[in-house]
Amino acid sequence: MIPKAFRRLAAGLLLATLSTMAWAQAGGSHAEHGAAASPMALAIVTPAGVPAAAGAEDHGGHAPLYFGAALFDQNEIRSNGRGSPIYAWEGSAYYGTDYHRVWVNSRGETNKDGGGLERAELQMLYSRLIGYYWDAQAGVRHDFRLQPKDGTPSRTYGMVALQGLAPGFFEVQLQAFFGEGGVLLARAAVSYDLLITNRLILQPEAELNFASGWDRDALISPGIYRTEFGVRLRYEITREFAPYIGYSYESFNGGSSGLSRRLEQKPSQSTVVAGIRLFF
Amino acid sequence: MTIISGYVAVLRRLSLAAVILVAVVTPTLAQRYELTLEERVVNISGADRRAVTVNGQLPGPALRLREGQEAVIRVTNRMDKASSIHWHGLILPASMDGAPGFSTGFSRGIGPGETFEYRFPVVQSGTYWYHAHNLDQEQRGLYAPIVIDPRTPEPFRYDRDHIVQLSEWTDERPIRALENLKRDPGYYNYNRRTLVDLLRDLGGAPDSTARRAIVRDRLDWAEMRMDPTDIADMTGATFRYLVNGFRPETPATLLFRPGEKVRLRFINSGAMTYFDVRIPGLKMTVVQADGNNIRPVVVDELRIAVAETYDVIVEPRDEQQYQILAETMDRTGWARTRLATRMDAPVEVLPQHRPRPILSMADMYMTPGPTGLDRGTPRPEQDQPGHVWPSSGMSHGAMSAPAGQGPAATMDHAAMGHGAPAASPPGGMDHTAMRHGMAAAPTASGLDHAAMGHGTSTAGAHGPGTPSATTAGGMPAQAGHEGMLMADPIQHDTGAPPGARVLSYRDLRPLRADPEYRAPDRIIEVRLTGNMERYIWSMNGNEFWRAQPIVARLGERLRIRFINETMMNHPMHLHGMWMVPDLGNAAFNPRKHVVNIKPGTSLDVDVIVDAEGDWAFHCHLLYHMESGMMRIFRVTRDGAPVATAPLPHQAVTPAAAHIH
Repeated sequence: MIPKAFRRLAAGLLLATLSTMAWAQAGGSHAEHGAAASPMALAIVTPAGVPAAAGAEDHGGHAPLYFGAALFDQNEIRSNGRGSPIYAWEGSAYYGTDYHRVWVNSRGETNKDGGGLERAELQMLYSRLIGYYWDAQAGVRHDFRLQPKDGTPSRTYGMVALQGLAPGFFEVQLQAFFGEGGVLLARAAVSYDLLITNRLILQPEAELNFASGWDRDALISPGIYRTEFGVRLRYEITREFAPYIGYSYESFNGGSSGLSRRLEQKPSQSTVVAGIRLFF
Repeated sequence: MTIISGYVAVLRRLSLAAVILVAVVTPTLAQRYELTLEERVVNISGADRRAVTVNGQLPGPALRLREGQEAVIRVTNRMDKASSIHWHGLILPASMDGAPGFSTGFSRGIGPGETFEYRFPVVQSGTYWYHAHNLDQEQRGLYAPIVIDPRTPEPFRYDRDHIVQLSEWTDERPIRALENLKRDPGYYNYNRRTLVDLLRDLGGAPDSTARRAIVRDRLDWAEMRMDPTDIADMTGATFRYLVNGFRPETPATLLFRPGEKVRLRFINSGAMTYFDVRIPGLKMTVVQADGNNIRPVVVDELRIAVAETYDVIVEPRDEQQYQILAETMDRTGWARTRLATRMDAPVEVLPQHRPRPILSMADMYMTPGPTGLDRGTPRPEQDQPGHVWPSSGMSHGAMSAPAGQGPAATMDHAAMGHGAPAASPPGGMDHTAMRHGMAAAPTASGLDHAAMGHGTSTAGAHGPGTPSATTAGGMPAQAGHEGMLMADPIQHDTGAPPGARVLSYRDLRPLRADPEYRAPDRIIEVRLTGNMERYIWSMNGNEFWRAQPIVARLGERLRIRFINETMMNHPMHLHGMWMVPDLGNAAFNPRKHVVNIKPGTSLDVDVIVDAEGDWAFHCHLLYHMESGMMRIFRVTRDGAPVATAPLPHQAVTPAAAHIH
């Protein structure tokens, strides 16, 4: 179990985030309700009406559940048959309640020589349930500069996102990033779990990256500047542990392909992948 | 000699005293129980786990009580966490109900090392059970039967009496299981529809029309983002199903002699599991449901919802073994025991599972009430985000009404006889809410007026005196979209062979007309809501900890109009009072403590409000309850929404001090 102090801290962080964003929040809306209806309405604030933070322990454990999860959807070795294979990951984790969560997304890969990191991205978000299938998210994204001499520079963006399940059971992630240079970036990712059997699952996925302007150091050009497609076949030995194999195609598009060529990188590459999906 | 005669005299006196003592004390002793709660290591499916035991037993020892006498039960908690025992289905004072956070003076349950003395008059008879009122301890074994012997002879005869207590066990920590469901609602479902299934179905289809229908069905479900195989949240993937604590591989043996009438008291103490019960080779005569006698009805099978009890009488005539089979509703496991003439009878093999049910579009036929207004509570509530399925209005895709039929929502209401919202415009509701807000005003008449205003505004379109406008009872025409009917709110499809009779609520007719039968005084709507994708469960769009109590007036007959907007069954349980589902049998509707509400259906249930206090009102699927599908059901003398059981932290609210 997570210690209570940590829960309080998490709750506090969430509340702080909330008040900053000035979004109508469940606990707060109680108070608003009461005030709006009539001053007397306060008199009927009852054990159940007391905001969760105060009333939590008084119902024999019937309190909002704080829980977390971590998913390493991609945790794999990629090889295109030439040079040494690289390691790549893409995952997310959260902690919070049904409505309010601290959310972390991360992705990255190692480079071909030496095994150092080629690129790495971390997103720290507040995530809020806004509908049956959808979460709205807001936070920051940081791209790390890993080689002082070459590779892409570090960047920090503010970001908002929408994440959820679209009709047809498509997992959808829509993200918008606001950089220092005034360039707007956007990313759309879709994936689908095709159940061949209940444990053998084929997961196609696609990702488009869009930019409103140039950021040459970061290999960003206007329009769709980078695309990724992948298909992975996993076997869920348990829900937590699922080895997989697959194919991945990554490409710089438009002006970015020229930028990457200048760095003597191939603008596109297809790789065979093998890895283990972890969910806990 | 004198010494001997002296001894004799003393002995005589002693024996006389003993006889008197026994005569005086026996009735009292018979009603006294000492229960000790402690954790013990058990091994049910190959791994050592800590279970919660009562007097060292799992399930706990059966309590045998007598109607008309007082029960005194001292419960000692030898665990390091607070605990509780709730007497399920028993009519007793609120302070003795044993629901922490609800019952007066029981806000924290029974603390570690503490002893709590329950003391209450036993005013009913039949089969009941007791359990901890929290997820963790009930799932880990704190449950046991209660048998109450009636004061008057029972209207049926039997030679033997056996308890068949169904339950389940998981090696996972219950809180972990709940987290698993929150992270992935399909976590325990390994029977989802797959590509292989699709190809097989297409291969088996007779013609292209059938193939198109199969594909269309897949697409419809995908568009709705719903899973038709979601029959049970928790399945045989984690559960082992038990009868009286025994796994089906090593079943308990219930003895009989051929020709005897054997009474079987079925109790479903599962946390999450509905069972379909049958005894191949025997007809079951159902004589009691939820502890109340009914007109005997002979059935082949019955489905027992979570927390229900059914008493049946069987007459095994042959010198053979009879399997008492309880197959889980989702067909992922068995609970099994057996009737046999000797203890060492060989264990028979379990039969093949029946085909798994899948939900149909009819189960999705939603009957949306007015969202945002909660007429079950003093003030209107807003649905929390994500609690109401976006397509509840049925206004999209293949399920939308054909052009020219008018707005879908209007149709639904008309068809379902749920015209009430039209009669109470939002302004009217606010007004009522305002009056309720003034309930703390000193004049009693003001209180009554407020309460009445609430009642009339809700009753509007139905009229409290028109119980015929019900769903299960009258079954009015329910012309839905494209001719789709609402699923029958009562009848279960257990996959029984043709000709087999399956018990339905309509068969539950009490022996005598209910003397308290009358038209309901008012109707409130309780929508069963939730989010299948996030595993959030609620009533009227609000989980327990952010919701208003439901307030009822002592002496009224309150009709709860359940509308199940989810795709799961919900066994709704009210503490301390009887619920009477309206099955169209008027005074012969049964009294129950658990009423199952099927997916996508609506059912009217009357509550005989005759017990003051705060009571728990919840879905008895424990993981739903723990996720928030619970309310305080508050009964006050005047129906005013005030706290009758002030808890310590209420002192924070200054105005609370003025209430009573």
